[in-house]
Amino acid sequence: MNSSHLRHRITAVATVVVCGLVVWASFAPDTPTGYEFPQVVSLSMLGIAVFLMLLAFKPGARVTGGEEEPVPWGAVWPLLAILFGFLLVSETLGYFVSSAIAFFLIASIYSPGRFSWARVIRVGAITLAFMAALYLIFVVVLNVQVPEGVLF
Amino acid sequence: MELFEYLPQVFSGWNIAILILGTIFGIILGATPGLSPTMAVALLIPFTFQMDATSGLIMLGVVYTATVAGGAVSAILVNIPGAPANIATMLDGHPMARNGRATEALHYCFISSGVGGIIGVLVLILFTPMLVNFALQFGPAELFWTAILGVTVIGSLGSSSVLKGLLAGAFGIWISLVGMNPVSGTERFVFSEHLQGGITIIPALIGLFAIPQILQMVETAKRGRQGTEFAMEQRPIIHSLIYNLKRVRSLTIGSTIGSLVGLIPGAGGQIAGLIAYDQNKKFSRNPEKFGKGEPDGVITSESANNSMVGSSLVPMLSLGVPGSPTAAVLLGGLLIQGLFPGPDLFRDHADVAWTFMGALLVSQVLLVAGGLYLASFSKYVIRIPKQYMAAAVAVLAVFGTYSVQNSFSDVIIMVSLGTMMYFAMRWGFSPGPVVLGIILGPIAENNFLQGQMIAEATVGMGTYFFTGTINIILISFCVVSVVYSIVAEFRIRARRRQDEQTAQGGQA
Repeated sequence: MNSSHLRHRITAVATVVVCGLVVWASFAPDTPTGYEFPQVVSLSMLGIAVFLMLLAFKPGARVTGGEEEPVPWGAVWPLLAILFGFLLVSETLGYFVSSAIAFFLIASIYSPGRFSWARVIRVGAITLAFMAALYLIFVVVLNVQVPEGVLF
Repeated sequence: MELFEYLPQVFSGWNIAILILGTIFGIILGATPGLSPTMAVALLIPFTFQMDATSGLIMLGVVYTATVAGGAVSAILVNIPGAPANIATMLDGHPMARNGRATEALHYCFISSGVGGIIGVLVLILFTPMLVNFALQFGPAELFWTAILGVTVIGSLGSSSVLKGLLAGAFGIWISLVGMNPVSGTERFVFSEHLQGGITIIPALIGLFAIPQILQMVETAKRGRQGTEFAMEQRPIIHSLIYNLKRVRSLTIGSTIGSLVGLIPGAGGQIAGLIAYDQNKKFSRNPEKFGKGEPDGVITSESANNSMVGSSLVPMLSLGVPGSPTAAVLLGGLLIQGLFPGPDLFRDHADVAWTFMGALLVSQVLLVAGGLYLASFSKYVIRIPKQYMAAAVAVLAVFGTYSVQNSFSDVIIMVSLGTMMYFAMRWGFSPGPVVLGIILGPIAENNFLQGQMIAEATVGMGTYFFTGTINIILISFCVVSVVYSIVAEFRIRARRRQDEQTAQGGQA
C-alpha cells in the first residue's frame, strides 16, 4: 500500500468519525423537538461517509494521484500561528496594532530571499500605508467601531 | 418592459460611480494571481452593509463579472489563470504572448468578454421573469426540494468527487442549523459561547473562501514570482475591435455555450470555457493552430466564461439555486439585505431586481472600455508579490467580518472555519458546496417544518413531499444529477488510471 492509498483511507476513516460525532450531537438532546431535520441531515452524512469508507477499503481499490494531498506544514504553520496568535491578542492590544503586527509578520516571513534591514524597512512602510488606508475605509468612511486595546 | 422603466436608476450618481469603480477594482482583483472572483465577492459583502440593497447588489454583480474577465490577464501574461474560468483562455492566450502578441490577446479578451457578457445578461433579463412565474406554483414542499436540489447539484457537479461534494453540502446544511432551534426557540448545538448567534453567512463566506486561499498563496510565496512574463507590444485598439467583431462564429459558439452552461446550477465558468474552446476547435478549419496562439481560442473561451456570469444568475434570482459558486456568494449578499429570490423579489422589490439587471448590462460596456484602457497597465498588477496579497487579504478578512455585527465571535468563527476548510481541501473537499449548504440549510429546514405542519394536518408526509408534478421533477433532478456525476466520476477515474499506467509504461 503506497502513501496515496494510506492517505485516502485515513481521510475516509476521519470522515466517518466526524460524521459519527455529528450524528451523536444531533441525537444527544433529550427532547427531539426541533432536531428532526438535523437528524435527517446527519444520518445522510453518515451514510455517504460509510459508503466512501467502503470504497476506500474495497480490496483492489485504486487511488489516482491528486485525490488527497499532503499538508505542506513547513510553509503554512507560521501563518496559522500568526492567525491564531491574532485571535489571542487582538482584544488586548487592539485591532489596529495586532493587525499591523500580523501584516508585518506575514509579509516579512514569506518574502523570498535573505533577511536584510532594507527589506524590514520596506515591509514596515508598506504595513503602515496599508493600515492607514484600512483606518480611512473602516473607521472614517464606514464608521466601524473596532476594539481598542492597551495600545490603539 | 420593466427594464426600461428602471434603467435610469442605473445612471443615478451613486450607482454609476459604483459601476465604474467596481469595474476597475474587479479587473485589478481578477488580474492578480491567486485572487478568485468568489473570494473577491465574499470579501466585498461587508461593504454592502453601508449601502442600500440596489447599490450593494450592483457592486457585487459588477465585481463578479469584472473579476472573471480580469482573470485572463494573468492567464495570458504569466500562464497562471486568475480564476478557474480562465483556464481555457490560457491555452492560446499565453502562446500569443510568447509570440509577441500579448496586447492583442488582452484586447480580444476584454472585447469578447463584453460581447459574451451582454448576451449572458440578455439571457438573464429574458429568462428570469419566465422562471419567476413558474416559481409562483411552489409551496413549502417544492421549496424544500429546490434547496436540496441546489446543494445536490453543486455538491455533485461542482466537486472533483461526488461523495465528497455531497458530504460537504450536507455538512454546510448541518452547521447552518447551529444557533437557534426554530421550533422551541432555545439554543441548539451551541458548544461554545461564540456559537450563540449561530454561524451566519458573512463569517462563513469570508472564512471558507479567503483563509484557504491565503494559505495556498503562502505555500509558494517564498519561491518568488513564477511563470514567464512577456513584453507588451503597441497595437491600435480599433484593429483588435474590427478583427474581434468579425469572428462571429467564435463569439457565437462561446456566448451560446457559456449561456447554456450558466443556466445549469453548479456548472461554473471553467466548464463553460473549456467546452466552448473544444467545440470551436472542432468546428474550425484550422484546428491544428489551437494551443499555439490562435486568437479564436481566446475569443471563444472569454466570451463563454463571461456569458456564463449573467445566465448563472437566472436560477439564483428566480429559484434561489445559484448557477456557480460565485453566484452562491451573491445569493448570500442578497439574503443578508433581507431580500429573498423568487416571485417576492420581483413583486415587492422590482426596483432592486430590474436596476441590478440593467446595471449588469451597462457594466459589460464599462468592462470593455475599462479593460482595454487597463490592458497596458496590467503588467504592473501581476507583479504584486504574494506575501503582500496574503497579508492584505488576511487583515481585510478580519476587519470585513468584524464590521458586519461588531462581533469578535464572528472573527473567531471565520478563522476557525477557514482553517478547517483548508485542511478539508487538502483531503479533496471543496468550499462551494459547504457555502451553499450554509445558505440553503435554513431555507430547507423552514420549508421542511412548514411542510410537516401542513402534511400532518392534511395528506400525510409521504404524499405531501413525494407526490405532485413539480416535486417529482425536482426529486428526479436530484437523483439524475447524483447518478450522472457518479458515472462521470468513474469514467474520469478510469481515464486517469489509464493515463497513469501509460505514463508508468513510458518511464519503464
